Amino acid sequence: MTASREKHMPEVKGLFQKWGGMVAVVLLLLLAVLALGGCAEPGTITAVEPTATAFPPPPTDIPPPPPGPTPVALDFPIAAVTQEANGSVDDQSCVGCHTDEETLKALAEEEEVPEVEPEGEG
Amino acid sequence: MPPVEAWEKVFLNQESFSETIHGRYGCITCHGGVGGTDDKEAAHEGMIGEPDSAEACGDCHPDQVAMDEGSLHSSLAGYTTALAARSAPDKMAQLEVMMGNHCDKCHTTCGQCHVSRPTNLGGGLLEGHAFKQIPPMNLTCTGCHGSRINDEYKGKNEGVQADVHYIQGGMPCFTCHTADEMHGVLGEFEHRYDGAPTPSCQDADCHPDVGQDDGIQYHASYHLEGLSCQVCHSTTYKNCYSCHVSMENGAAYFETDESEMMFKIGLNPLQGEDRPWKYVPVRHVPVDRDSFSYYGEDLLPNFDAVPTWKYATPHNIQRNTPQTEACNTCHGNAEFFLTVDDVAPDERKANEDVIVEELPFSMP
Repeated sequence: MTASREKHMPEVKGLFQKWGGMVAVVLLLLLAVLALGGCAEPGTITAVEPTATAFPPPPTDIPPPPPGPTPVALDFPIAAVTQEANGSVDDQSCVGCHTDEETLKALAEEEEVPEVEPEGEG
Repeated sequence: MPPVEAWEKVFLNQESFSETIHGRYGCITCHGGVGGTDDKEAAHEGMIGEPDSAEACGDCHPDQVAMDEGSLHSSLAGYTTALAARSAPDKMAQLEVMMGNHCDKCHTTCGQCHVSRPTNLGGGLLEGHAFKQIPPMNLTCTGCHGSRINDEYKGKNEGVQADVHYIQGGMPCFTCHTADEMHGVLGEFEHRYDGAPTPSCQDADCHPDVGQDDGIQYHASYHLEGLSCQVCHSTTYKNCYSCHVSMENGAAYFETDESEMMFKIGLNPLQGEDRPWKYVPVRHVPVDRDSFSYYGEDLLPNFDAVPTWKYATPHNIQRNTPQTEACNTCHGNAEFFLTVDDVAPDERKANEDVIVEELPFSMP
């Protein structure tokens, strides 16, 4: 038995070498086809009708809003309000005029106080 | 006091007002008016120049505002009390008209001490609308208390030294006259001399150690019990006479006779538990029987019910005065006492409770 095996070994090796080379060539050709296929023009894109988006139904039982802050007694000193919070942006026109010396001088009018000087010390 | 020009009265300082806590509330919150316009007339429509204390200040300073309504500076109750004492209920309506024309400008709101000069001086912002926690005495206090108190305290009466508390102590008004007194916290009084003396010379931070055993010769005898401090430690002060008020060309007007510099010790018209002294300085006030005749006839029918030489606390205190030079400067010397000869015949009945009829005996 051993002598027979040793006798056929070269034949088996030859078969493997022959078929292995062929498989490798086929695989290389397959890869080349795939690579060349990527350079080919794309096929036509067919428009597909959009499917409707499913929304959950609106809630029928709306919970009430959470309660607002409860007014509490103020502890002094309190933080100063800001102009924005106080809505006093319009005051800028007051301030603009009353901080402008030249404007005030031009616009200010002396009160017409009757000139009656008291006689004697008050 | 120098006048302030119209523009300067309303000139706002950005730093002293706008960038402070009060400035953050803006202008319209307290003064009303219309924002967002450059037109002067439109901007000032509905504007309130001197806001009401309760409305402008009450939200943040409720305690002070509530108390202040009862203070004499705010209510002017002292004027009403003095007038009512000489008048009669059916005459008060006419006197109230008079007060509206001549007295109300001395009424003070919060702002008229802490923000601006008083109306009596024509108003005008203090330091560009800065809120002065302590009002500057030279622009506010003495704006109303000028011709007597200011001149005495600062030594502006010729030949009379300034008050030692001012010239040596450098004490402004509020050192003695505290915020509590100004704001009515000490009680609701009908007259400035109601209740215990406030301030008192013997307050804790002042002269609490004065007493009969303090080593001062004159304090060791009857003087501390029988004399108010000012009898020995004040000196010549101003007395005014014959004030008459009227309206001329729509303006309030008054006229007084020439004032006189004198020092007179009289009997204490307010003698009691709080003011136990027998002798006090007395000052002639400018009232006259027909001071208010412009507003009606005989508006002071009970003129004689109250002295015209009134309990006084002159503001020219000195450690040494002519009275302290020697015993007989006062004892046996009529010069410093209010005697019948010092009082006009027409006013002797009104002053019978304060005229000194018997001088202290001369010392050997």
